[in-house]
Amino acid sequence: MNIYITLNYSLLAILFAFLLAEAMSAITFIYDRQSLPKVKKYLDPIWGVVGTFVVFFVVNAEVLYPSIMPYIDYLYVFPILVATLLFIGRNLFLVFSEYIWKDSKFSPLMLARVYSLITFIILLILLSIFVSIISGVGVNSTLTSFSAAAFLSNIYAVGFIVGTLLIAFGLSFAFYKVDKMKFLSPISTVIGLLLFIYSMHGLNLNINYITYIIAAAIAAVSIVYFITGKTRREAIFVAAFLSVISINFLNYGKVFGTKSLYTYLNNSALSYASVLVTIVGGVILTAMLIFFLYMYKLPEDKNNDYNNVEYKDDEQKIGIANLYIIPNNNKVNGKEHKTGKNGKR
Amino acid sequence: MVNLVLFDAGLMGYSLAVHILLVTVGMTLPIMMSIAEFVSIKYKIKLYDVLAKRLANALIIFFAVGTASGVVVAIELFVLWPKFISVLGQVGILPLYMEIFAFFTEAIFLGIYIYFWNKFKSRMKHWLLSVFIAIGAVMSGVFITMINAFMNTPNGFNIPYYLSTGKIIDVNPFAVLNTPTTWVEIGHVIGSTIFAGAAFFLAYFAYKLLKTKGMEREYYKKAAKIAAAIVIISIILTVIIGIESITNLMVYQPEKFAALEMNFNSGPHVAEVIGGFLVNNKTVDSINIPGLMSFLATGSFNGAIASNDSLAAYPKSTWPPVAVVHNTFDIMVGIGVLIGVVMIIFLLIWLLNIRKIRDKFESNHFFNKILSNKIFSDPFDNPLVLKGLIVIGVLAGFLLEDGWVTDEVGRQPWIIYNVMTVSAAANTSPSIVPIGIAIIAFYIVVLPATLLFVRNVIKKRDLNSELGVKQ
Repeated sequence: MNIYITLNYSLLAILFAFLLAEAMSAITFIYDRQSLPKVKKYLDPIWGVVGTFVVFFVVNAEVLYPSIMPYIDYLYVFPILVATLLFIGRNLFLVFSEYIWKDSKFSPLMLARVYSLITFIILLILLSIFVSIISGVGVNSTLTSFSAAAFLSNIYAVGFIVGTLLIAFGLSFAFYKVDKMKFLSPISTVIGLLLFIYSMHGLNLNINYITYIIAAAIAAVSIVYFITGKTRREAIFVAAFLSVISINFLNYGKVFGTKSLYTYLNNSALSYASVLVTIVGGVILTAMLIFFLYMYKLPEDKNNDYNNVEYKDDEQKIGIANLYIIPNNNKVNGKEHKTGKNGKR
Repeated sequence: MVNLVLFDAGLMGYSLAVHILLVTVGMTLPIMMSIAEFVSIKYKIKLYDVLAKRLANALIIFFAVGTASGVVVAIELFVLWPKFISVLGQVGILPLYMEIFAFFTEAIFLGIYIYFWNKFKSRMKHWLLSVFIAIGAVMSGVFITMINAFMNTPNGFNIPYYLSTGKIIDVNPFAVLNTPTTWVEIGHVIGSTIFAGAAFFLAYFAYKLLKTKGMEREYYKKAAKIAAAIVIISIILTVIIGIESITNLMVYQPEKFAALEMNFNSGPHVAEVIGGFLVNNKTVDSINIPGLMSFLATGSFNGAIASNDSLAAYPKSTWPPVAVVHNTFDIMVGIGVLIGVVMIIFLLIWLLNIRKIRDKFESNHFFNKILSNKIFSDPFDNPLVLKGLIVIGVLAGFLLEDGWVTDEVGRQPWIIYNVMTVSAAANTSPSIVPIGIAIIAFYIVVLPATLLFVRNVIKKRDLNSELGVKQ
C-alpha cells in the first residue's frame, strides 16, 4: 500500500463526509422549513472549513498526480468550472441568509433554500466526476473526451448517484434531528444502499464483506433514529468516511476503470516534501479542529468578560490612547450635514 | 474563431483582477478588526468593540466571496494552464500546498471568533483568535506570492535539462520557497495589498465622516484613525521595498527591467525615459532625463548600465508589450510616491493635532501663527482632507491593478520566465469559452452585489442599540 495514495484517499473520504453533511442540510432546508435554526447552528461555523477542504484535496491530488491533471482538465473542464461557479453561489447565499436584514424582501429561509439547491447541484456534479474517474464511464480509451450522453445513459452510474442521494436524504433526519415524517429515514437509507451496491456491481467496482458491514452500519443509524429519536452526528461522519475510503481501497490503485494510479504518481522529491507538509500541517489542522469542536460543544458563559466589562467614559484621558480615542474637538461638519425641512437628516 | 490562448489569458487576468480586490479587503479587515478589539479591551472603549464586531461581520461576508473567488482562481489555474500546473506540480507547488493550512487557520479561527464570541470567558483569549486570523490571511498571501516569484525566477529543478528533453530532474521542492526574488516580492505584494485595502476603508470612513454627526461620527473617526495608521505604515514600506524590487529586476529579470524602463541603451550616463510609446523600435513622445537611470541604478549620473539591461540585447519575439508595461510602471511609481508623500504630510498634521505636541508648538508665537492655519486643523475634521482621502482610496485600487498588470504583462510571453511560454501552457479546449463567459458575467454581478449587501447590513444596524444606549 502506497502512503501517498492512502493519504489522498483519506482526504477524499473526509471531504466527502463534510460534503455529505452539507448535502443533507440542503435536503433538510427544502424538506422541512422548521429545521432552519437547527441546521444553521451546524452549518454557519463550518461552511468555510468545508470550502477549504475542497481546495486541500484538489491541491493534494495535484501534488501527488500532476501528470493526471491535464487529462482531468480536458475531460471535465465544463463540469468543474460550472461547479466552481456554483461554489461562489453556495457561499454567497449561505452568508446572505445569515446576515439578511429583517425588512428585506428576501427571507433567510428563501436564501437558505437557494443555497440548498446550489449545494445539491454541486454534489451531483462532483459525484458524477468521481464516478466517472473511478469507473471510466463516459470517458474514451485515450482519455481525450468525455461524453455526457454516454455517462447519463449508463444506468449504473446514475444509480450510484441516485443511491447516494437517497442515503443522504435518509441520514439527514438523524443528522439534523428532523421529526417530520421520520419513517422515511430508514426507508430512504435502505433503498439507497441497495441501489448503491447494485450500481457498484454494475460498474465493475469491487465489493466484499466490508461493504456490507458499512452498509449495515449506515442503515442502523437511520433505524435507531427512527425508533429512539436519538443519534450521534459523529457516527454519520465516521460512516461516510469509511464508506468512501472502502470504495477506494476495494478498487485500490485504479483510475478510469482499468488504468493504474501508480503510473501517474509523482516520484520526485516533491512527494516526500508534501508528506512532510501534510504531517506538520495535519497535526496543526487536527489541533485546530479539536479546538473548534471544543468551542462548539462549550455552553455560553453569561459570566464572561464581555458581560462584566465596565466601559470607560470617552472623556477620560488615558495615555497613548488619546491618539485614537479622544476627539480633539467636538466639531461637526455642519456644512456637509444636509438637513431636511423638518430638521431631520 | 476565438484565439483560445488569448481567451484563457484574458479570463485568468480578469478573474485575478477582481480577486485581488477582494484579497485586499480580506487581508486588511482582520488586521483592523484585531486592532479595534485590542484597543477596546485595553482602554475599555465600547465604540471600538462595536467596530470590531461590525468589521467581523463584514469580514465573514467578504470571506465567503473571497474564498469562493479564490477557488475559482485556483481551479482556473488548474484548468486553463494544465501544462504549467503539471510542471508546478512536479517542482514548485509546495507553497500552494502550505497556503491551504494558512487558509484553514483563517477559516477555522474565523468561525470560532464570530460564532462563539460569547463563549469566551477571557476577552484577551478571544482577541488572540483575531491575531491568528490576521496571520492566516497574510500568510495565504505570502505563500501565493512565492508561486508568483517562482514564475518570475524559476528554480528548484534542472532547467537546461528540462528545456532540452522536456523532463524534470534534480527537484528540490524547498528551493521554491526562496527564489532570488521571493522575499522582495512578498514585501512589495503584501505591503501594497494591505495599503490598498486600508485605503479603501479609509475612503469609506472619510465619506461617512463627511456625512454623519454626533456619536456615529465619533465611531467613524475612530475607525478612520486605525485605517489611516495602516495606510501610512504600509505605503511607506511598499515604496521602500518597491525600490528594492526594481534593483532586483535589474539582476534577475533584466529583460523585464529593460521593458519597464523602455530602455535601449547601455553604458554610462543613461537617460531615464518617462512615458512615451514605441514606434519602429524607437521611443517617441517621452520625457528623457539625462543620466537619471544611471543615477537611480548606480548612485552616479555617469554609472554604467549593463548591456543586458537594454532591450537591444533581446530578440523582439521575447519582448513583452513594451509601451504598455512601461507606462503602467511609470504610473505606478508616480502615483505610489505621490500618495506616500501626501500620507507623510497627513501624518505630520495628525501628530501636530495631538494635544501634548500641539501645546509645545503653540507656546512658540511663530509656530502658533502657522498652526492656526486651517490646513493644520485636525485632518479628520477637515472636509478637504477627507475628500482627498476618498480620492486616495480610488487611486489605491487603480494603483494595485496597475502594479499587478505591470508584473504579469511584464513577464509575457513567458508563464515561467525563460522556461515555458503562455501559449505552450494554455488549455485550448473550446468548451472553455461558454463557461468562461459565464465566469466573467458572474463576477460582474457578484462584486457589486456583495458590496451592496455589506453596505446594507451595516446601514441597517443601529449604533445606539449596539452601544446599549436606551432611547
